[in-house]
Amino acid sequence: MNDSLSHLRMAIAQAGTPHDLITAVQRLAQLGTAAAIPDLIAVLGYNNPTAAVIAMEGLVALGQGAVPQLIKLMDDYNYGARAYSVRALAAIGDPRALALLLTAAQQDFAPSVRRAAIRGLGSLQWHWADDPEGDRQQVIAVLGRLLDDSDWSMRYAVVVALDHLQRETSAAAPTALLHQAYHKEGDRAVLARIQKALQPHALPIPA
Amino acid sequence: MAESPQDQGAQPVALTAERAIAQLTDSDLSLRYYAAWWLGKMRVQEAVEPLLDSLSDTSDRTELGGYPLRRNAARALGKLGNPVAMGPLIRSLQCEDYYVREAVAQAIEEIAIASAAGFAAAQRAVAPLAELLTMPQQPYEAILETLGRLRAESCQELIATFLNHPQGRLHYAAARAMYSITQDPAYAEHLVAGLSHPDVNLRRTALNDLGEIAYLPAVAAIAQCQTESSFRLFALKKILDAHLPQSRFDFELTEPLQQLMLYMDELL
Repeated sequence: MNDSLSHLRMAIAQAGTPHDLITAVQRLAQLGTAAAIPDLIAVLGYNNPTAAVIAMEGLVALGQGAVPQLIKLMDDYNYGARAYSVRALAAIGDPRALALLLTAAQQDFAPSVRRAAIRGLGSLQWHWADDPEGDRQQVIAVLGRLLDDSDWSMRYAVVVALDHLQRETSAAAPTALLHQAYHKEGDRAVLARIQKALQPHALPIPA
Repeated sequence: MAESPQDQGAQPVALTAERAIAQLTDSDLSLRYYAAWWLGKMRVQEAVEPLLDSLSDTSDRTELGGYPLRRNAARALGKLGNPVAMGPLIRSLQCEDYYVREAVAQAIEEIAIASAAGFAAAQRAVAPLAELLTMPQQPYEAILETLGRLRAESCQELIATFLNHPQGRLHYAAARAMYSITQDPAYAEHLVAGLSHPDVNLRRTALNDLGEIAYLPAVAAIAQCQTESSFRLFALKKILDAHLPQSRFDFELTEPLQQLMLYMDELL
């Protein structure tokens, strides 16, 4: 099979079965070429989870080069596609996605998109940012507010993000927020995740 | 906006517990149906007696002979979780409406989950539920689930006959019930195998069942199952919840539980 970009585009367009689609997307992702970025992003919206995961991983492998188009081509209507795009941005960790991640974390109507964005806020590559300290403060402020979200899965995602942040910075804020969360959290699973995050640090004795 | 509810024509007025209870006997049958649903959703405990009256309603009938109000009354009684409802619910297992029987079997399960007293009261439902299992055209899935929840040891042989059922949902319901009763991992492994079934709906069913039985050895397979990540996340959460002690502070986070949380992290 000819693995030129134009042939693979045709193979995807003409795929008669999910299996054909997955095979073609695999080859497309393996090309590793920036020219395939819009095609890989389109696959995220095909409602085929296997193909979408392959495309998402292909985009993550392309790294920072995929970021501008992931932001520009964000699907406002298909939240399934949006969740994959946000996961890809979270995995790449480029701070150019910060504004998008902050908005998605707080406002997206789809829980899966919000969870992915919140987690992404914890794993940005700060050394790529123009103003790492300012960005980090914004992230901490938003994560602090989201610790009061009514949905346990959002709070769980915040804890995971804070856990990441406390490992990679010397700043005390993430760990301090985790201690606060430990005292007010009502869900036992979230509490367990907080405890895991705080394990290497001294746990306060509960009153 | 200071409109009074009366100004809004046909729109439903804001319900209160008192008004909803009154509506259970309204001349408008659709209001009764809605009120029963609402009382369950809002968990209005004072509604138990009136809902028990609705459980034997004869005025709200469908063209096919169904009893819509009874169905909603049964669902609401399940949500209220009060063991007082057990006797009338068990009698309603004989109702000629399939969907009433299904709602009743599920309500019995919910009451059994809600409290130790509910679990004890629901034991009286074991024999009538088992009998339905031997009859045609019954809500088998709900019955199997409830018998499992009641840990109905006396019904093992009967439940096991569904393990080879051609309908996947019944196969899994039987496996889940058998695991709940025996704690034998061989039954849970039926569900683990279901995680790679070609039909996505059956994969979701198996996933949900493994969450319900909190089967810790399945966490890796659940994390990798080809379904929406939110389904997998919620199933893993159920397993984590079930394996944490009831006390609020200082869980002992065993290695498998820490691994489980790593899988949850990846599904966000």
